[in-house]
Parts: sequence; C-alpha cells; structure tokens
Amino acid sequence: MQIPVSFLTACKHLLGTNNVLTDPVSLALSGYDCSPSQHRPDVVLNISTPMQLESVAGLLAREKIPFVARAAGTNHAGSCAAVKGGVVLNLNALYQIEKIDLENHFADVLPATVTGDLQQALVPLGFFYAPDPASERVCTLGGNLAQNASGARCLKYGNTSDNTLQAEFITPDGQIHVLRHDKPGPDWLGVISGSEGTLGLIKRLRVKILPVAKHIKTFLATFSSLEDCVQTVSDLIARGLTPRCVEAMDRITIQAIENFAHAGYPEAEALLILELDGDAASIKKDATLLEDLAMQNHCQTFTVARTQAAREKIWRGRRAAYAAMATLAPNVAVADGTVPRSQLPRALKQVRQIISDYGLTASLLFHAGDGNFHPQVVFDARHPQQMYLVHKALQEILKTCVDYGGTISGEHGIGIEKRALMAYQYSRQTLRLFKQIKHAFDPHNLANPDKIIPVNFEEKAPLYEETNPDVLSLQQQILLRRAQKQPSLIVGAGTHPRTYEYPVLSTRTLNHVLEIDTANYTATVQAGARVQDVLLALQTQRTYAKLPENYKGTLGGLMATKAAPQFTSQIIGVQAILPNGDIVQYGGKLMKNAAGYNLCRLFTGSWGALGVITKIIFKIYATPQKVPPALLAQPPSPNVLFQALKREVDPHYLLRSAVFEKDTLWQNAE
Amino acid sequence: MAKRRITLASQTLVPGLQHVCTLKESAASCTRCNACAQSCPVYLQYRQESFSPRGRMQLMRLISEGKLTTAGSDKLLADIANSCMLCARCTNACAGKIPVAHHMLALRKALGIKPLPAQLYFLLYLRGAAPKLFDFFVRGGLFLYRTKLPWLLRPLLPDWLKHAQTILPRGTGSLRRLFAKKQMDVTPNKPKALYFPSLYAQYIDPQAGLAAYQAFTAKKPTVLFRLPSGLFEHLYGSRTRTLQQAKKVLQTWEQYSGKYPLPFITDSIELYGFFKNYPLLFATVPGWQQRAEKFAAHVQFVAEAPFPIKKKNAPGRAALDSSSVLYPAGPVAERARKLLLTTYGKNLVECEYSRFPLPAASMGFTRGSNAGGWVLTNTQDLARQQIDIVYCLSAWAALELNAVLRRRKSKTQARFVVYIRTDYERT
Repeated sequence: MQIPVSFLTACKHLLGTNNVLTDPVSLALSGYDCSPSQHRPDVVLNISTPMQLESVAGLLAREKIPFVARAAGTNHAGSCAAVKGGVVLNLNALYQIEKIDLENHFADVLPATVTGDLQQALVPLGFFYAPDPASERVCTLGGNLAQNASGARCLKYGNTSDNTLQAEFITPDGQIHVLRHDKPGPDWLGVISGSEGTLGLIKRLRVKILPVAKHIKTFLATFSSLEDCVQTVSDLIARGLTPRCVEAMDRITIQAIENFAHAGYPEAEALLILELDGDAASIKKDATLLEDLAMQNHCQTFTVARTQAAREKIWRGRRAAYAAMATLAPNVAVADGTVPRSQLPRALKQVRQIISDYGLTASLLFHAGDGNFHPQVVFDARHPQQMYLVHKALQEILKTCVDYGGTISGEHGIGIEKRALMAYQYSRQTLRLFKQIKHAFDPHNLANPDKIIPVNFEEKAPLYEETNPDVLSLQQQILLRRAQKQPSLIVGAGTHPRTYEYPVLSTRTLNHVLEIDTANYTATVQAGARVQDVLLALQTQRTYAKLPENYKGTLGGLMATKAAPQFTSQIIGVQAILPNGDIVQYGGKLMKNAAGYNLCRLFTGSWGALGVITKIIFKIYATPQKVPPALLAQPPSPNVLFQALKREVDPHYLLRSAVFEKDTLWQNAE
Repeated sequence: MAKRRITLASQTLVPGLQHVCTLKESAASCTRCNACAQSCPVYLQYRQESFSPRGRMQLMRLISEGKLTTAGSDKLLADIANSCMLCARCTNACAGKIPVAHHMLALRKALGIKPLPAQLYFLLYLRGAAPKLFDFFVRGGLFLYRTKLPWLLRPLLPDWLKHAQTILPRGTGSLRRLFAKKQMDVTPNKPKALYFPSLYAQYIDPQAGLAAYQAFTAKKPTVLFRLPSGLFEHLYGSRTRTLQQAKKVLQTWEQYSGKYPLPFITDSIELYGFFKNYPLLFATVPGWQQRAEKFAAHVQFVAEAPFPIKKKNAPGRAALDSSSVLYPAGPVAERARKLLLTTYGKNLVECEYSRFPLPAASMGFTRGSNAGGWVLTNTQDLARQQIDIVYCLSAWAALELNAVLRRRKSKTQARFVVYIRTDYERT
C-alpha cells in the first residue's frame, strides 16, 4: 500500500531518519517469524522508547495505516507477517526491567524484555516468573502476552494471562488503557491476552513473580505404552496432586534426544518427567504417592534425581528436544493441538496414524498435564511436495484435535497459519462475535489486520446447532423480543437489588449440573444453577471448586458480576446467547486454549450487557480449596471499550444492564 | 539506480550439521527459530532484525535464491556483512549449527568489500613473501611506538592504526629474533611434533611462545613451524592466495611427517578452527581433499603455561568467553569450561546466552570499525556480575579485551585460557 509522505516525514522527526526504514532489505527481513509465512511491510519503524510508541500509535490512527507490532518474532503461527503491508513496528529496543517489587510480588517490564532475562534477574533474588515457554531465552514478555504463551509449569501456575497483573494497552485509535484482571467490568486484560496484536499494542506490563520453592524434586518414569503414561497423569491429578511440571514424550523423541544430548533416558515407549515443589515433608509424601501411582500403571522404571546435576541432566534432554529433531532434517514444523486430558491417548494414536499415513517422521512431545501436544515433523522445505504433505498432515492432526473436543492451538496462537481451521473449530456465530470484538477495538482494521478470523467464515464455518430445549426456548424469547424491539433484563436467582423494571429474561429453567467429569476434572453446569446447589452436587462426587459458599445467587450471576474474582481463572468454557439470538460457544474441557479471543474472560463481569450466559465449564479439584467469600459486586461505569463492544453486539440496547443504566450515552440513544 | 544482482561464489562450501553443503543449502536449512538472537553481540546492540543472525541467514537465502538486488541498499548490505564479528556464538546456539560467519564472509566477498586498508594488504602480502621484511616493519612499528611519537600524531592516524596502537603496547619483539638470540635450533633432526605459534606468541608475547616451545621440546623434539596459515587471506584476500598458502602448510607438514603423521600443535583457537576446516577449503580442489582430511585429523589445540591457574590463588569470580573466529569452539571450549570448573567451582559464571556479549574483542580487524565501542558498553555486564577475570580461548581476544577494560578503568582482567592440554599428552 502507499504510505503517505507526510506520515514518513512525521515519523522521521519523531524517531530519527535512521529509524524509518524503507529499503528492500529491511522490509524483506521484517515480514516473517518462525512459521513459513512471509509478507513484506511497506515501512519498518524502530521504536526506542515507550513514549515514541504512543506517539507513533497516534500517527497511525490519524493516517489509518495498518500496522503489525513485532519483537523477537518467535511465534509459530505467522502472527508477525504483514499481510496487508503497512507498517511494522520493531519494538525490540523496548527491553527493560523497570522495577522488581519483592514485597508485593510483581515486576514492571517493557514489552520486548526477554522472558529469560527476567528469569535470570529473579534468580539471585530467590524469585521466579512462572510461565516458561520453550523459547524463553529469546521470546519476549509482550509477545508472550499477545500469544498467551505457556510452558511446562502452566499446569500448576497458569499461563501468561494468569501471571500478568496489569498491562498498559494502546488501542488502534491511539488511546491508552490500563487493563487489569481485577477491575470491575469484563476482564479486558484476559481478552487481549492471546489476541496476537489484533486489538492493539502493549506498552508496558506488570507481571506476577513468585518466591522459589525451597525444595524441588524431579522424577523420571518410563512406560511401555502412551496410555499408561497418560493414565498416570490423570490418576495423580485425581488424587489432588498438582506437579510443577508434567512433560511426556514418545519413543522417537527419546531416541533422537539420546543420540543428540545424551541425557541418560532409558529406552521406552513413553517417558514422563515430573517435578514437585513445596516443603520437604509434603514432597516426601507426594513422592511416595507418585511412585505408587506410577507402579499401578505398569511403570517400567522410576528414577528420582537425587542431585542438582541429575536434575539438570533430565531437563537438558527435554530442552534439547527441538534441536535433536533439527538434526534429522533441515526443517522442523511444530504443531500445537490440545485435547481434553482423557482423550489424549486416543488422539495421540490417531495422530501417529496420520503421520505414518503421510510417510513423515515426527516426534511427539506433550505437556501431559493439560492435554497439549506438539508433533514435531521433520522435513526439507526445498521440496514442495514434502512441504505440501507436511501442511496437509498438520491440518489433519489439528482437525483430529477438534474432533476430540479440543482446540487447534493450546499455546502457539492462530495467526494466518491456522486461520482457515478456525472455521472448523468455531461456529459461524462465534466467529461473528470475534469479528465484532475486533471491530469494537479496531473499527478500521488497522492492528495486525486479517489475522485469527478467517476472511470467508460466513461461507465456510458451520452454524451452531443447540439441542437443549431450555436454551432454545430462551433463544426464542430473545428473538421474539428483538422482533418486537422490546428491552429486557436478565435475571437469575434475583439476588441483586434492582432499581429499574423491564420485562425479565429468566435463566431459572437452566439449573442443571450437566456433567461432573472426574477424568478431566471439569464440571459443566448451566448458568441458572445456584452456586450452593452446584457445590452440593460436586460434594456428592467428592470434588471441589473455587466457588464461594456464601454466594446465594446463580453461577451465571457469579460470573457476570465478577463477585468472586478468583473464579475468573477457573472458567474454561462458556456458552451464551447474544442479544441478536446467536448462540456462541467457546472453550471446553480444555486447560489451554489460544484460539480466538477469550470469551470466558469477556463474559466475566459483563453484567448481562453482552448476552445471556447459559452454560459454564470450570475446573474442579479432588481436594477442598481455600475460597475467600464473595464480594458485594457493584455495577461499574463502562469504559470506552465496553461501550464500543455493547454498540457492536447490541446496537438497539435491547439487553438492559445495570452497567449502562446510568450511562448518558445510552439514555440519549433511546 | 542500477539493479545489480549479487552473485555468490558458487563453489563456496560451508560446514553443515552432518556434511559439507553449499551456501544455498545451508541458508535454506534455517528454520527461523531465532534461538541465535540473544547470543549475537551485534544484535544485542542494534536490536534490529537485519543485524540478527536469523536476519543475516534470511538475507543470504533471498540472495542465493535470486530474490534480492542491491538497488538502494548497497550501504546497508555492506553494513550487515561487515558488522558480523565472525565469533560463531550464533552457531553454538543454533540447533542446526548453521555457520552464519561463513555466510557473512561469502557475502563480503560477493559484495567486493575489502575491510582492510591497502597498506595492511601489503603487509599481509609481505608476511608470506618476505618474512624478514615483515618482521622489520613490525619492529619498526614497535620502535616508533616506544618513541611516543604516534601518540602525538594520533589525531592524524587512520582508524586501523589507532586500533593497532591500542593493542600493540604489550608487544616486545618477535619470536624469530628471540630464538636467533638464544641460538636455539628450532628444526631438530627427527621431530616428533610440530608447533605452530599464534601471532600472539610470535609478536606480542614471544616469551610465552618460547616457554611453550620449551615445554614441548622437553617432552619430545618439536619443530617450530613458521608459515602463513592462510587465515588472513581467507578472511580478507582472494581464494587463490588462501589456497596457495594452505597448500604450502600442508606440503611442509607432509614433508616432516613422512610415513607417520606428526601432531600439529597450535595455541591459537582461530588457527585451530581454520586448520580443522582445511578439508572444507580443499573440497573442490581435486586430489587435495584426502590429504587435507589427514592433516586436519592431526591438528591439536594446546595452550601451554603462560598463566597457569593455581587453585590457591584463584581470584573471586571467573567467566569463560568461548567465542572464536568463524568456527564454534565446541569441544575445546567444553574442555576449558570443565578445567575452570575444577578451579573455580560455583564462582565460574557461564558466559552464554545474552550474558557478556564480548566477542567483539576477538581477532582484531575482523570486525567493523565501531565494534570497540560496543565492547566498551558490553563490558558493564562484567562489572555488574562482579567478574574478576575473563578467560578467553583466544589470546588475541584476551589482549583486545584487556585494552578495552583498561580504557574503562575496570578491575576485571582478561586472560588467555591456559593449560588445555588436549590430545597432546596422549600422542
């Protein structure tokens, strides 16, 4: 595209002539990442201070030029490719750990700070930053948040989104927002994490840091089959044990690693690396339990790393996995599918079948704790035929994941590489909502345009079909009121005091606990069920959730009002009816999902303004959980983002909400 | 502007992970994982993709596939090619061990860049053609230096001479003269080994060279081997001249060896890497490759005794900079690390990843003219980590780093890592 000269001149004034690059070499070297995609931008701007980023964002908004933010460019999804040309913002110079606060356990960093640098800075202080993506030595914290990266420790400590406390965010119109998880209203920080830069730019971050546990113990177990290996993980989670890391790999990977890094792994069909942390007594207890469980599942060898050196040796092998595969052929393609944990053995079997059908060589590495696996296919990119086969095989593998109730991306993101598959995973209605979110943030499609959402989803994606009669009747009611242009108000148990009266949309009929899954440790509950009833139902199965006992309302109410902030991170799936009658569904029994915008976080704290929550899937536990009591939630005053999204989703203000009742903007609209 | 296509020398081969491959193949094998970025001192300074090892490889890929012309980017391309320190830290970090430094060297040649001024080329030429004259120039330079005259003329001196002036002060003469003075016979009748002294041992610290030679001869008769290796020509000159000199080295070694190949010992990590890669150099010369392979198998790296580490005196904290020109130091670095670990234990700080990006110090003139400044900024890391001593695999690197540290008035010292007796004792 043609970049206006006035813009270039302004940029040169702002950044210096040397930092506005338009030569073919710099352009050709700024349009790729770790994936095969490659698109040249029209200008590269080197940003050296956060203030410059702000000013450039303002200029871009004024001139309406598309832009892509870029730091280390280590993602596997093509998120950094400038599909529509425009400007690439090179943020690599924004690296600085501005502050480490050991009392309040946080660190303030600039977005291009390398994750490994933060880790290294924290080591002498006796702290650590929980997410540990395999590329932590080069990837940046801003990029981690944009892709919602996770790593081996994610099972216990959560992904990047969970470990980010605050982000200074620049929306494509040049406005700066300070986003936090605990602010009233939708969890915007949760929504932007994993958005791959399509919603705006991250200017500064505050991340959570944790004190290092005094005792860490690493175990290595081998099994004669993958099924036994995965079953061990399921069993130990069922016993309420959450290891710090649970990593697994198959025979081909073990052999490749042994040949390359000599980590001393025994020969086996499957290998499991487990790590426990905590105090000495609890580790001792857990270690015995761990060994028992492994033995029950026909474990062949069970080794404990007794010294620090032995521990490092075990991990050296795991870290060398990618390099070991890289020695087998010039190129390695990494996929990233996630399925519910209980489906892992079956899914892996099918993946192996696909790989052998296509005649490819691949290793299987997986984070067994959360059902996330990475087939690493080795190939030679110079042969188009091989490229094509690899591409086809990876597509099929990801489709298999979706078929097993999983997602096409657990941690790598969508970008343009997996964009087409989004239409396979999500329904047309859900993708439409994604588009509305993007439009609310970025009406002119400037921030990292044409990523995540498939361009032709209206033709390709299937329509969502709901079978539950209660949900269908609620949908009918909404459609009817929409036709009559009659406003309505969502009411659950009616525990929140109301000072205004509208015809009611009641979720009273949606009060069933649909499923308590003790294989995956998830519960699927309809939103109209009372929290206390849900807790009782869970108790009958001897399971527990992070739900406050003192909350008298419904589960949907708890989520929509954000009355229990600690519950927000527990929600892994949501179903909702939008004001236009569309039913959307996001997530599932998945511990990780990096495909699309996080709707769970969007509907949390939305106060019924965006739609009726009908179904919630959340994590449950085998041991009682400490839960603080629910707060008395007050409707927040909506910020610009909330207003823009409301306007997108519900232009006629049919779904009344306590949030917008006092908002003059809507009074006028009426 | 004329659109000139860049043509890479087609016969250039580079080391691959398992076998030798062409530039094009090697460039295509980069998976763009960017694991190299944080190990590159140039990237850490520039923070631009074009100056990262991955960017360099992508550039080579575009050029080798004919997708890039020089239109409007001549200066940038030259900058990219010249700014590479050839330190091979990126190759160490790479899973596929892609030799980025070799690529950059090929690019320099393709672009016709001559990083050295003509005077230096002349000196290099003399080193091969008339060693005595070369010695005379070096000694003349040193004499001038002692007169303090150059300090007065400093503003008028060209950059390369200024650089030489910072480095040379420690120079005390030449090894050749030292041997002549002592009337030592450096070519015994039935030699059992050959010693190829580094430039450092020859000109900067001949006493160290002498000590090393004496240590070798004490065990078995050793020949002092003094011929240009071809490394400088490989870096800056033509391929023909490089081959000429390399052939000479090979032939002389074969003459000494006779039926039984003799160990060929050097104390320069740069030369060690270069000799080990002779087969690569001769890959396209018919009849020579096997000879080169035989030679390379007998090359050994020994850094003997100028500064033995004593456990008692081992000061505070130490680090090891394992960068070496063009070639990843590999097993030698690993050995040095183990050795230092036994002396320093926990006080040995790993010099990897983005920590201490110092290799700008290596090999004097291989780097861009502004590299000295980068090292200067990078040394602050040493102070922050309270490193008392940095061990370098290359004596030259230690020398340059020391010069920089002195300018910074830093308490940290750089030393040539020592006592890496590899296979020498066994053979």
